[in-house]
Amino acid sequence: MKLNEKQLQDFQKKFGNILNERDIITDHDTIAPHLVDWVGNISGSSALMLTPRNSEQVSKILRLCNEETIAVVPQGGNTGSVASGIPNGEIILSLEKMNNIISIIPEDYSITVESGCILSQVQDAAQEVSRFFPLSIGSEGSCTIGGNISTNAGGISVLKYGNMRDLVLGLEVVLADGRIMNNLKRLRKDNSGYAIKHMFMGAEGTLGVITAACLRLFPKIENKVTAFASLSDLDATIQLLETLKSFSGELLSSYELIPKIGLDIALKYGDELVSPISDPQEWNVIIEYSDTKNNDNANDSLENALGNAIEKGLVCNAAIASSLSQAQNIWKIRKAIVEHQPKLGGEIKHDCSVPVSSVPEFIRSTTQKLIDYLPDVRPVPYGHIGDGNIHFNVCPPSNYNPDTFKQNTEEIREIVYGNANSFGGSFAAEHGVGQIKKKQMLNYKDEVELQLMKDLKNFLDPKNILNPDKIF
Amino acid sequence: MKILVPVKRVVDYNVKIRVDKETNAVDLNNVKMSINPFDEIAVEEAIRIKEGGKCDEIVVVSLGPEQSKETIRNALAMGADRGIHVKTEHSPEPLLVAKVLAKIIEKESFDLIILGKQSIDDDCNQTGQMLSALLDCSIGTYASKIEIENDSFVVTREIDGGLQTIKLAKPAVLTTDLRLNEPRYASLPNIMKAKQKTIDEVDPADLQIEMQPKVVTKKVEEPPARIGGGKVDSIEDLVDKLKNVSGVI
Ligand SMILES: Cc1cc2nc3c(=O)[nH]c(=O)nc-3n(C[C@H](O)[C@H](O)[C@H](O)COP(=O)(O)OP(=O)(O)OC[C@H]3O[C@@H](n4cnc5c(N)ncnc54)[C@H](O)[C@@H]3O)c2cc1C
Repeated sequence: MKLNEKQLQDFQKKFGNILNERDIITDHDTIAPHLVDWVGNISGSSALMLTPRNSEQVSKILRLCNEETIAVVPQGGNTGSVASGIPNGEIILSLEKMNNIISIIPEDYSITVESGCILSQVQDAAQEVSRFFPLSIGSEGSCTIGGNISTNAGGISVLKYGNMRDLVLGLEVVLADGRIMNNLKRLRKDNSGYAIKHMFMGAEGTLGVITAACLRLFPKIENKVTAFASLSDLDATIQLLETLKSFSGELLSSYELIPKIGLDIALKYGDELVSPISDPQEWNVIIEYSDTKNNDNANDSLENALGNAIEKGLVCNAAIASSLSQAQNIWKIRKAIVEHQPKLGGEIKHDCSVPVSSVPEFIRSTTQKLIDYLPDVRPVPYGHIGDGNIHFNVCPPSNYNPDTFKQNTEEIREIVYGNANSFGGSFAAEHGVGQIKKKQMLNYKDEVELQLMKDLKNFLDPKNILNPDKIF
Repeated sequence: MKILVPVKRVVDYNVKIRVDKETNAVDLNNVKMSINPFDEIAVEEAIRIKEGGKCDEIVVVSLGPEQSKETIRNALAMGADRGIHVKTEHSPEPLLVAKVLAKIIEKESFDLIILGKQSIDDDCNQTGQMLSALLDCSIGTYASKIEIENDSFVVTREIDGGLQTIKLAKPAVLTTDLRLNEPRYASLPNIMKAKQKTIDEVDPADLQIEMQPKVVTKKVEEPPARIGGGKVDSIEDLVDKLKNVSGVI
């Protein structure tokens, strides 16, 4: 619900009993960046932002909000991709000032942090003690651990280390009524009843506010080998993945699909990027091996596996980065695709997953269906193919009117997500549901599962004060 | 025409350098090492000259420990033909490197020697110049463009405030600048081929050169840490800090 001027002043006063004055923010300019999603497509409104400094304060805020039935939207770095952190009149509860590293225990391979810690801050802290925190995503310099957990973020090393969910050992969560659930344990094993913590992961801030987390660390990576390979055809992407896994599965950390059209976008609009190979084909992949040993092991393994794949005719050509600069350039191609794709006259983004073995057929059939619907449309399917997670983005035919193209959004989304569904796939692979996929929840989610989610929400947040109207 | 390209194994450009206080040296333990970027540019240039049909053989040479062979292999995978590894325990100082190179050039003659303008570890920027003095041949430093005209090289040099174009007689020593070219990636088929190419091992003793360093490193220090900024809560706070902390007003 929206606060009127009188209520706003009233609440400001009440929050004044909980928070320091400078943590109660009403200044429009300060709030403005918190009202637009990162892509700039969706904007919302809010007259008040709270920036608590500890979980006690979060607890008191929620207790008050629950009593008065006023809703809050938790927010971290506001880098989310589905506008799940954008308020529509609700109070913004920003965790940005809760950014302390509570403890790091190298022997336990664990780090305990407040939820407003920036992801890169946690990566650096781990590095300092010769450990490794593996979550790696494009927004790592601005997104927060709380946001990562609440979206169950994925990224480029899920193949080896899993999603954010797999990296969480314990949580501290403030419930809608202000109670604090303390599950901040650094245990590898704990089967004492239900794994309640998992409910809050990927919940997009609708079930509780995460205030701290204990995360898993890994041995430090001493050697990374990055390669760019051109494949003989789309099916070869999955066959090569199989070859790499059977040769050296434990080293393989990233496997990303780069279609020719994506590479062309990167080379044309990216900042002085060059193609790693002179004759790129229609389908290419970025491969990365991560090794805890600093010797030739990873290089030799990758060379052998790729050599084998060339013999088998799966790979036409491949380049292996010989310096960190070359490796970074390969990854810059991947980033440039995300950044410059809209320059093809607009884009309609999709984040879907299908079983890994179905990816080639899924890409082929979706492409065909899109062309049947709009001839010359330009699909740019790229991304985490090693996890079966394709960002199936769709760009208009060249010289097509961007506004006319936008009018096709609903139909195009239906084609892509409908087809993913027919492969047993998901319409929300790593970015969640938020505000933009509520329709797909109704269309594709198992009815019983959906009802259970609603029951759970109702049980934990009966007054619907936590991020209302998101997900369903 | 035969081209010689010396290549050095150095700490990768993107690695954050740390000082090991005990050994009073840069910590090289578990650090990613790569070919010196300027040498990589030199290798690329030699390959382009060969691809243009103006060179018959490219030989790369590296002085350093056993692992320097990786650096040579790297250059061979880019497209050089043959390697020479001069085995030394540490990476020697510029004059010694220049002397070794001069000996190698004495044995088999080269028309062109392309070096990096400097190596990014010690930033000496001396080897090319010393080598040309020892060989008593022409030199073009900081090359951003190299063209071959009959028996001479037309070289564009990056100098303070502009570019200078000079013409050099064969044989010549050239050193590369950053803008000369963009080095290629080693392709897998070429990495495989490189494994078959020869790398000759040379002992500096056989060249009758005493690898005794003349320069002694007294101390290696990290630059003083920068003190980060902070946010102030009010104008009064800011004025107070400017007065009492930084002392600028
Ligand atoms: C350039 C770029 C690249 C990206 N790449 C990837 C990628 O590869 N993989 C991927 O999965 N995502 C990716 N993302 C999406 C995004 O960065 C992640 O979803 C990230 O985890 C969100 O973190 P955040 O702190 O910005 O959360 P926000 O955007 O602030 O919030 C996201 C959701 O979490 C909730 N939330 C935030 N903090 C809390 C908390 N403490 N307690 C309860 N709920 C909370 C919010 O209410 C909201 O619903 C990318 C984004 C960008 C901009």
